Amino acid sequence: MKKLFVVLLCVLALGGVLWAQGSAETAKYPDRGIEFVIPGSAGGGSDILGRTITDIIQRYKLVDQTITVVNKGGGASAVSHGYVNAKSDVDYYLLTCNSANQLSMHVNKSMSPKGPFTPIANMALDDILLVSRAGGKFPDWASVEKAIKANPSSLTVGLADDLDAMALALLEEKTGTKFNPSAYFASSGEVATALLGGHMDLAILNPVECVGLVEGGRLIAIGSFAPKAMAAPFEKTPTFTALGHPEVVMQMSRSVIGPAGMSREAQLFWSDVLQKVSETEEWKVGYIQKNVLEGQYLNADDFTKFYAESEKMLLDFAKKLGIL
Amino acid sequence: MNNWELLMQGFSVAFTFNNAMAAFIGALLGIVVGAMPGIGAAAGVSMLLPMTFKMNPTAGIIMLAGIYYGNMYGGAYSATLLNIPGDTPAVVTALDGYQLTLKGKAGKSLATGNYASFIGGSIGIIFLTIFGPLLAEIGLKFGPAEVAALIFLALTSIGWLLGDDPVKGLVAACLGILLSTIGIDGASGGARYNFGSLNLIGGITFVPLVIGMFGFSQVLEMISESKEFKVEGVKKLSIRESMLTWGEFKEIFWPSVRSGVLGNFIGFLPGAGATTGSFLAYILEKRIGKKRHALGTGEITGVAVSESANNAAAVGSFAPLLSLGIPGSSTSAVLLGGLMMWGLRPGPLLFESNPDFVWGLISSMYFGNVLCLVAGMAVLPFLVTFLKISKRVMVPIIMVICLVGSYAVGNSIFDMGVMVVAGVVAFYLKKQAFPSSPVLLAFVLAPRLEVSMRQALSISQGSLWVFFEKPISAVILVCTFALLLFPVIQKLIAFTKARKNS
Repeated sequence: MKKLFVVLLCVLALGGVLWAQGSAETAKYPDRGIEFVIPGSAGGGSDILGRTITDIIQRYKLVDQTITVVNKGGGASAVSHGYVNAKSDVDYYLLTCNSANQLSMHVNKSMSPKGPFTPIANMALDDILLVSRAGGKFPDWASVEKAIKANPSSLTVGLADDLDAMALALLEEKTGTKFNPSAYFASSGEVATALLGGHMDLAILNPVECVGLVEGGRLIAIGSFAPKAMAAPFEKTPTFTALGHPEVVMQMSRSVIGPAGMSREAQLFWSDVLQKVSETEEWKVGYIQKNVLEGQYLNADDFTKFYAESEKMLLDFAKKLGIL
Repeated sequence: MNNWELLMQGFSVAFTFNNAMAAFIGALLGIVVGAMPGIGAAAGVSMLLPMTFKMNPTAGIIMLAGIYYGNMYGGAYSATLLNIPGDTPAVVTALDGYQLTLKGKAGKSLATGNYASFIGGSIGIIFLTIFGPLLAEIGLKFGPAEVAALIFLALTSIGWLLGDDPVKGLVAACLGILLSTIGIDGASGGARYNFGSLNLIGGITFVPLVIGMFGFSQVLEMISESKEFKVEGVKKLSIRESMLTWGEFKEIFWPSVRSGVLGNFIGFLPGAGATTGSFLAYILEKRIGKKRHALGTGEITGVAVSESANNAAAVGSFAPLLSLGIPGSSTSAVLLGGLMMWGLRPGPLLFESNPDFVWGLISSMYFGNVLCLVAGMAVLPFLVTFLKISKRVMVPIIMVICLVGSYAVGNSIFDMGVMVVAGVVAFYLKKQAFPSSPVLLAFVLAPRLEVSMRQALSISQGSLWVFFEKPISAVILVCTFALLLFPVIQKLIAFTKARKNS
């Protein structure tokens, strides 16, 4: 009887060990915390995107593990890319991305030697604006055009990234003007601050980065690169098409990507989570509508295709304008 | 309605049971998080942000704000007791705080930190109440050129300010600048001095460096000295011993007020931060204070100016956040995310569209600051008993804190290596009487100087004149050169006088 008891105990113990092993193997991803890396300092468009997504995930408990937002601004996203490229546990990092970061990867060669980043999901399309200070010398495009044509390079335009530079180059080429571009800002939040303080004349910003200040009557959006007229509070902002420059049209995508070599499992997991995020009320009203974006969710596979196509288009465009 | 009425209305919001509890919990959590090395205010606030989503926005932000300024209190504790600054501004606190601990006056140092934090915080809150939006506007006048000049002033002061030998201080500061250039340059994105290493491309992380240079080198020192690490008079320490005498209180009062005002102003500036605030306050005290010569050898005034300035700066950064939607520090950036999540949009309209929220927050700060002071004084006896632990137990504990703390920041073994190397280097630097705080301050300030300077130069199309044609930066630069040349001129005058006499 005693022997039998011992044998039974051994079997139970062995079974327990096997069961524990089995459950360890099938432990569901993600089994620990995730870092969400923002290629921009706090307060910029990428920062707001990353924090909104994180907040919605946590509010609806879409993921069991904690997500920590990490700002790695500077070097037109090269700092954040370098940070992520140095990590070996690639399934535990996410990055926000936009057309500007996509372009910077090539300008700064900040891609990992392991290969390109892993596209996860596209979230929205964003517009681009030329903005000036309220109560200043430039209430509209006509006054800017007059001043800059009379005196080339006399107006300073604040830029935060290579896409801003591309937008400005496009505007210069199609309108026959020449501005003094001022780069080296870690985020558009810093550009807006410098514009408010009168340290520069104009700035290229996304709606999300200036909507509060435009509503509050501190900044004026004097022209948009959008294909069609924009919603409030930018309803008074003319498109450059309406101003007689139909070729000055540009939009950018806002998306989420993972490090090079991220597993298929992780890629699909986050693609699903982000779909759920894009269907919440907080996302549709609190982020998209409030920040005057255009919601456009694409899952991992559709976005991978879109990512490759848009990258090719961006690079061709950049080469034509002499950015790359 | 004027600000006064609005504030009173705000008090009626803040003193509801829920909001008062939120302020209390926030302040307490803040102190605990602040005292832990490696977890700064930004990390603390972002970890606790999800907790607040179930509350209403006012209670939520009141709690988060409590965590933020409570943190500034707590940062001083580990700086004083272990010489490991809990967060960056506390690097300056550690200068005098740890010296006081060695003299057996840890209790006094902690109490001073609490009082000064309270004074600085109060000054910040009062200024925020009266001039908040106005000061945010003045802050806007500080563009890239002005911020560059301000940081240049701080950076040039490091060498002569810290340690006994200006030359050694300068060498240490240069080491800090050198280390800060590793990785991708913050302005244009080119990789520097990474020698092909993927780990170095993101630069050296600050937290492992601090923990190594302060904490780990401390451990090495404790081990290398054969005598028992003893702090005099520890057994007698009690809360009564820690209380400041009236004379001591008078001694720290005016310096705290001065640096509170200065720190608060730095807090309003975009991109300057609490560390710059603490450090500039220390420079000011070293120039004009009564005890300027003894500063750095363990003076309660040194602890007071640093703590007062960083609390005032923390509160100050709320002004640009609320009135313009511009975060002045990484912590207020997390708060900005929270505000947007609650459907509030910080910007020029917030004061008008959500007065209950804004004034509820501001008045809760008065209340929270008092709570922090009470809580800070209440934990004093427990903190002081910490010093009674013998070296044999202490060394392994600090070692574990160092290793875990440096790993936890980025979950990276490489960071642990950085920590150990930094510790060994700092240990030998100390043996040769090179001070280690200039290394850290230069490491923090140099990248900011570089980025601001390059921004300014890109606006001016490469002309250096931009730093002199703007009145604010011109004045700051003139002050800098005056400060630099002052000792030389002083010596020159003394020299000519001596020659005339002989």
